[in-house]
Amino acid sequence: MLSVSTIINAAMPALQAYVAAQIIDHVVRALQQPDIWAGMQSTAPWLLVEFGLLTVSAILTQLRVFADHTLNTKLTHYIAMRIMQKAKELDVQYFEDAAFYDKLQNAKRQAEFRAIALVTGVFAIVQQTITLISFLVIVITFQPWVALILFGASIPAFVAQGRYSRLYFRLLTWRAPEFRQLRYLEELMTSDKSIKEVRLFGLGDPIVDRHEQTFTSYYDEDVVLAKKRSLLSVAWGMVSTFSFYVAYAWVVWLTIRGTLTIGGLTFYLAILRQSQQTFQGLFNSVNWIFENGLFMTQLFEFFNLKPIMPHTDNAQPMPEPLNEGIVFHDVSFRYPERTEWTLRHINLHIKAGETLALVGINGAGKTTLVKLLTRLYDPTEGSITIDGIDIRQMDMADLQRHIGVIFQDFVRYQMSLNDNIGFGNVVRINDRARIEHAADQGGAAEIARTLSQGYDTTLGRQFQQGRELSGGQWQKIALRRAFMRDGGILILDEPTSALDAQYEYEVFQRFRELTQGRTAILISHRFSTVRMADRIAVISGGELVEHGTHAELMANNGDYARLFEMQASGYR
Amino acid sequence: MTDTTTEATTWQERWQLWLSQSKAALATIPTAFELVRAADPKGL
Ligand SMILES: Nc1ncnc2c1ncn2[C@@H]1O[C@H](COP(=O)(O)OP(=O)(O)OP(=O)(O)O)[C@@H](O)[C@H]1O
Ligand SMILES: [Mg+2]
Repeated sequence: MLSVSTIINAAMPALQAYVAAQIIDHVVRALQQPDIWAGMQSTAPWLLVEFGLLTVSAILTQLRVFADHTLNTKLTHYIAMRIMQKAKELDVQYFEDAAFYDKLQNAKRQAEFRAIALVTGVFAIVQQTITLISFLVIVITFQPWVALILFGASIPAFVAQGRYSRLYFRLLTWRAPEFRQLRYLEELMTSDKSIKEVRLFGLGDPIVDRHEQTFTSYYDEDVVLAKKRSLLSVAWGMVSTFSFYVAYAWVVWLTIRGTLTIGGLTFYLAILRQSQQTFQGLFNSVNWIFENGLFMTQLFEFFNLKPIMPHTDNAQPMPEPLNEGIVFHDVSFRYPERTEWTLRHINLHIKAGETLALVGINGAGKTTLVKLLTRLYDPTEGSITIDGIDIRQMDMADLQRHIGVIFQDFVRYQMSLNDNIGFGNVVRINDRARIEHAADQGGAAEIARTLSQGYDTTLGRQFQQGRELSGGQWQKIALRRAFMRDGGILILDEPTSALDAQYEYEVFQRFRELTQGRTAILISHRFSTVRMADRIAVISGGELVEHGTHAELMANNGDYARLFEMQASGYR
Repeated sequence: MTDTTTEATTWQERWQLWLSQSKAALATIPTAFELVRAADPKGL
């Protein structure tokens, strides 16, 4: 579609100029003849031809508008898909890095618009080149020096524009962190997650002020650049206009001298004007392509990001069921771009089928340990094995399929209750019986009963007819999601922090039954919960300081006993 | 990423920067075509 219309439109201007000249010459000739009708008859066909040309041109233009529109819509969707697919394969560590979000921001910024502009720009150049060649033939056979000044005068403007395209690109990429800051502030002010605090702490005005400040600093730079760009364009534009009038005067002189007919005058004027315009248009297209190309480099760089974590080609299958269990061999870990160790020399054996509780103060490294086991990160030193196989030798997806997990910051999917539980095991997402069974095992079934559409009720406030739940209700559902997984390993990172005492009690009464045949890691700050575990490991400052059963650790009289006593004394 | 944070000072540096950016920008053209073709095969 683009290519057809390009070629036809390319030949249009020269044709139209030619037809217009024919009309005028016929009229002039007719004026000198006595027979009016004969004159009209000889001119009329040319009028029809011009009408035809204009009609074709108008239809083509509209077709182009239509084609551009559909292309734009499809491309927007396609690019969003590609970005999501890329996000799917990238490691978690990308998502914990601010620079990544700058990249993403730059990649997404007007990407579909820039991609189309690049393609249409290439077509425009083809079209303009064809048009220009047709003009050039005419102008050069007319007067070579005219061509020289007309086109030569346009070059400085081209160079100046190119420079500003680059400066503009640099400004925008540089400013990516600020743009994200702006988006973030807008999000804070307008999302249900933050509105309560924003309202009660009176953060509205401070947030608006910060938005204003950040915007102003960018805006000032932007305006300076735009101003310079416009001023230069005007200055160089005048140079080329002047050159046009030199050529104009020359054509007028030729006509007065009688070398050119009136038709010739109009013909050459149209050609001169349009050829200069086309020439400038060609330069603009080149610049436009350059500018859009610069922006597109960002999208393609994003597409070219590679997962960092190594993939093995001959992956070993995840053992099922476990025999030996999970072993941490002298594992140390440092977050990328951090200098201090988050975990140091962890040696730990979690036996198959047992429940291990991880205890430690905030920031001790408990969640980090879980991230290593689930291969969201790889250890910096040491290794983790499951039944003797290094988890780096397993297929990552296979490993993760066998692990049911609830994180501290679990997700509240703004989707149906069915999906919120079913996401724990997507192949079973349509298996309502299974989902109901999972829900039944732990309190989520009662939530379903209170919802008007049962398991099909949308949860959360983000979408129409969504039902918001309480914090604890959300957590119950996330817990059910973890239990949906078929795998032999269960990881619960503070699964009961928001649960009422009654429910927590029930969960742990049935904990053995629920974790039957599974190896479980349980992280909790509640010692009433922790003591139900088979064994307890205490982490402090990234190091494993104690481990053993509740009784052993109490007898040890170390960190665990101290923390336990502290909490217990509060209840007496 | 294309280095957009350094301000070139000498003419040589500017020329280098210009050259590398132009190359990078030009190189996106075929990829952009592929993108558009993949999104809408009949659009071109
Ligand atoms: N993505 C990250 N990048 C860099 N540092 C991190 C990251 N996540 C956590 N940390 C740091 O690692 C340390 C351990 O964090 P971790 O989340 O493992 O603690 P935790 O034991 O789970 O604490 P809590 O009881 O509060 O959940 C903290 O000092 C934290 O600042
Ligand atoms: Mg944690």
